[in-house]
Amino acid sequence: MTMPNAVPGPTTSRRALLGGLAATALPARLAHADPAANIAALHRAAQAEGKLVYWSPEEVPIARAMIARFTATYPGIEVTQFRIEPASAAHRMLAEHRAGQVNVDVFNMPLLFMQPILEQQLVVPVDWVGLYGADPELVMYDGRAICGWDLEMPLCINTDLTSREAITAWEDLLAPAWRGRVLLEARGLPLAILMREPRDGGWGEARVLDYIARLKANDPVVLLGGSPAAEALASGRVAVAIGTYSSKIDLYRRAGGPVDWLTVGPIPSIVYVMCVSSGCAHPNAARLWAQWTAGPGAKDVFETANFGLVHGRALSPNGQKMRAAGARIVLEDSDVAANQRRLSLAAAAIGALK
Amino acid sequence: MWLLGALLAWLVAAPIGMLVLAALTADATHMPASRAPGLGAFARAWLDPATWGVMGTSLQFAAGSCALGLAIAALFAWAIERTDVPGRRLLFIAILAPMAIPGMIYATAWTQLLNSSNGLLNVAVTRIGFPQPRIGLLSLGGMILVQGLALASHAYLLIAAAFAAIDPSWEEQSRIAGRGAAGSLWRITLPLLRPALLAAAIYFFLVCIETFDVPGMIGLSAHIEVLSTRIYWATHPESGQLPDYGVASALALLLLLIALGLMRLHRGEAGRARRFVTITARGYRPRRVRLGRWRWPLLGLLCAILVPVAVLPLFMLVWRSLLRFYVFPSTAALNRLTWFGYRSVLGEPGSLHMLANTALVAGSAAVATVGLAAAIAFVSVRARSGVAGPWLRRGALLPQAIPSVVLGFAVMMLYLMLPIGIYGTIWIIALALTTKYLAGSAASLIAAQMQIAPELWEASALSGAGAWRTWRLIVAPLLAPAFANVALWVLIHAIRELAIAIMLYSPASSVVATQVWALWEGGQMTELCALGVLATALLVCLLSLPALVRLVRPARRGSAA
Repeated sequence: MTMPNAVPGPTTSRRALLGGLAATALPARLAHADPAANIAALHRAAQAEGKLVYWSPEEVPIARAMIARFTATYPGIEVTQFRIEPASAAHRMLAEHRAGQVNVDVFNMPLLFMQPILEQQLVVPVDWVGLYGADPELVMYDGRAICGWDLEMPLCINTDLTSREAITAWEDLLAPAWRGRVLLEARGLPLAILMREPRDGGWGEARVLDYIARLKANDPVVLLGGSPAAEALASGRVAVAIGTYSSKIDLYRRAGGPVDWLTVGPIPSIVYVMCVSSGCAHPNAARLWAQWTAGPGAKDVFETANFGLVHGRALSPNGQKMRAAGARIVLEDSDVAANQRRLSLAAAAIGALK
Repeated sequence: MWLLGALLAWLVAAPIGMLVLAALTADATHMPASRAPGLGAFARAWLDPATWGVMGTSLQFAAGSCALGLAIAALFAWAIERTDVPGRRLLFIAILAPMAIPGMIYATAWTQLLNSSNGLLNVAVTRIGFPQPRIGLLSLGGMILVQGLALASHAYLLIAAAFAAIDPSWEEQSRIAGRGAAGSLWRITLPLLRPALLAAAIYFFLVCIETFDVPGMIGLSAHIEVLSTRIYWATHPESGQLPDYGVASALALLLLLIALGLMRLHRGEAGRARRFVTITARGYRPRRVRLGRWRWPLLGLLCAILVPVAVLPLFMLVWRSLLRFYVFPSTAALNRLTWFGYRSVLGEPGSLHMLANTALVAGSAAVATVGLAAAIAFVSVRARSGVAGPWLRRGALLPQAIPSVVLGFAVMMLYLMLPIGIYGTIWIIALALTTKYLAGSAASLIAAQMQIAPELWEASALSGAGAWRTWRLIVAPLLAPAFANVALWVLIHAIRELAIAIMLYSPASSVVATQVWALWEGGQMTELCALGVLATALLVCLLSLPALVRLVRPARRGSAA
C-alpha cells in the first residue's frame, strides 16, 4: 500500500524557507551518498546538543521502551517524553511558536491533526531519503513528516456477552438483536475513515452516513473517548464497541479482560507521523530520533512490546493478522482537508457533539 | 488597597483581558492577536439560536444541582455544627471524604451504578427478585442528581464555618418565644445565614454552569448539551482543526455577564452586612441545639443521605481499584481481587517528583488564595474602601465564571507574551489555580467577615490596639475555622483540577492531576481508581487528625445549651 505524498496547504513562505535552511545547514554540510556515515555524523552533532524533547500521545511505558532502545543505540542524548494529546499539542505548538518559545524538538502526530501544523509551517522539511536512506514510501508532505505507525480500529466485542461468530459484517449490528448493545464513540473516527472512496477500500460518504443513521435508530450507547469505550466494553455495559483500538483491546485481554477484536472488514486504521519542529533547540537530535523511528530499530521495539505499533505500509502486527484473515484495511487519508470534512460529517451524523 | 487592586488586576483582569482579545481576534484558523479584531466570534457564539437553547438547559442543570447540593450541605452543616446529633466527627469525615474523588471518576462511578444494562444497583434489584427497574441516569434529572450529590461535600466545607459562628442566644430567645427547633431554624438560623448561603449558591451555580465532568460523562450519552460541553467542543474540535478559542472566549464572556448579574444579588446583602452580624463584642458562646428524641432519627436521615453521596461512589471506587476489570460483586468475584492498581501507582518512577510538585503547587495556591481572599474580605466588608470594596469583591468572584479550559488557555497565552520566565514551570499552574479558586475563597471569607461585629474593632481600638494587632488577636482567631476550611478546600481542588494543569504543565512540572489524566486517557481504570482511593484515604487520615479537626471545625467554648 502506498502512502500518498501530496502536500496540502499553502506554499512555503520566505520566513519558513529561511528557517528550514538554517535548520538543515548541518546535514547539508554532512550530506554524501552514505546514509550510515550521515547518521553517524548526525549522532555526533546530536551528542553535542545532548538533549531531546519528544511530544507524543502514546502511553508512557511505550515511550520509555522507545527511549531505552534509542539511547542504547545512540548514547549521549537525554530524551524527555512529554505526553500530550494531539489536539492540545497542535495549539500549544502554535502558541509557543508565535511567542518564540519553542519547547518541542520532535513530535508524533496523527494525520488528523496535521493541517494546522502544515499550514502554519511548524515543521522542517528534511531529505529523509537522500540523507538517511529512509524508505521513500514512508516520507510524506515533501519531507515534512515521516510515517510512523498505524493503529487499527476494528469492531470489538465483550466475549462474555457475545461470540466472534455472532458478527460477520458491520450491517449485522443494525439488527434488532443489537438494540442498545452497541457502543459508538462520539467522534466517529473509524466511520470517518470508512468514508474514503471505494477505490481506496472505503464505503464512500453516502453509505457511511446511511449506516450511521440506521445504527442510531438501533439506540447505541454513545460515549466520548476510546479508553472509556474500551472500559465500558470490558465492564459489560455493552457487547460491541465501535471506536476503540485493537492495541488497547490487546492490553485489556492480556490483563484478563473479556474482550476481543474482530477481523470483520473493512477495518479503519489511523496513521501517525513523526515531524521535526521548526526553530527547535535540538534539531540534530530530533532528526536522529525521527529517522530512527522510521527504521528497523524502533520497529523491533514496537513489535516486542506488542503495542500494535509499526511502520506505515507494512501494517501493525494486528493489521497483518487482520489482513491475513481476509479483512480489508482502510488507512486514514493523507489528504488532511478531506479527513477533516469526513470527520465533521461523521460526528454531525452521530449527533452527540453539537 | 492599591497593592490589592494591582494583585487582582494581575490575577483576574489580565486573563479576562486575554479572553476579550481572543474573542476579538481568534477563530478556528487563527490564534489570538494573529489577525485584525472583529466581532465574528461573538456573532457565532451569541447569535446562534442553539446557544440560547443550551443556555436554558444549563440554567436548569445548574439551578437543580445547586439546590440539591446546597440543601444536603446545609443540613449536614446545621446538624454537625449546631446540634448534638451523635457521631458528629464521623459524619464530618464522611461528608468530606468524596471531595478527593476526581469529578470524572465520580460521574463514571454513578454510570457504573445505574447504567441500564449492567448498573450495579439495577442488577442488584433484579437479583433479589424484583423486576428490572427503570432507574436510569441518561436524563437531565440524572445529571442533576449526580452533580448535586457531587457538590454536597464541597458546599459543606464552604458554609460550615458560617453555621458554627452563629450566636446561640438568638436561637435561645426564639425558643423562649415559643418556637421549636425547626421553627427557630427556619425563622432565625437560616435568615442569619443568608449571606453565606447566597454567596455559596452563586458560587456553586457558576461552578455547575462551567463544570464538564457530569455533562461530559452522562449528558453526552443522554444527548443533552449544556454550555460547558459547547465550550469544550469549541476547544476540542472533533475534526482535527485548531480549537476555536474565539467562540470559546465569547461564550466564557457570556458566563461572565451572568456572573455579574448574580453578583448584584450578593452586593445587596453585603451592603446590609450589619443585619447578619452574629459574633459581637457582648460575648460569643457557640453552643449546640439539643435535639432530644430527634437525635437518632436525624442521625438516620444523615446516614441515609450519605449512602448516595459517599458510600456508593466510594464502594465502586474501591471495588474497581481491586479488579483489573469490573465484575458484579459476588463471592466468586473475590477470587479476582488484585493489588495490581496500587502496586502500579506506588511503584511509578517519578512519583516522588510528581508529589513534590503537587505539594508545592497546591500549597502555594492555597496560601496565596486564602491570603488574597482574606484581604479582599476585610477591605470589602470592614475597611472604609469607598467604591473600591464592591469592585474588589466583584473582581474576585469573576474567575469562577471562566471555564477551566478557557482560563488555562488565557493564562498560557498571557505568560507566553509576558517574558517573566514562569511559562513551563509549576508556578504558572499555581498562579492559574489561585485565580480559579479566588472566587470560592473570597465568597466564603466575605460571608464569614460579615458575621463579625464592627464593635470588636472599635473596642479594641479604644483599648489602644492597632488594626494589625486587633486582626491578629481578635478577628483572625474568630475567623480561623473559615480560613482553615477555605485553605483545605483550595488545597484539595488544586490537587484535583485537571483542565488547568493539562493546559499548563510541562515535562518538568507534572502533577497528580496530569497523572490522573494520563491514566484516564490510557484506559488504566484500575490504577486510576487506586489513585482515587489513596487520595481519599489520605484526606480521611488528615481529617481524622484531632489538631486539624479542631482547626477546621471551630473550638467549642461553651457546653451544650
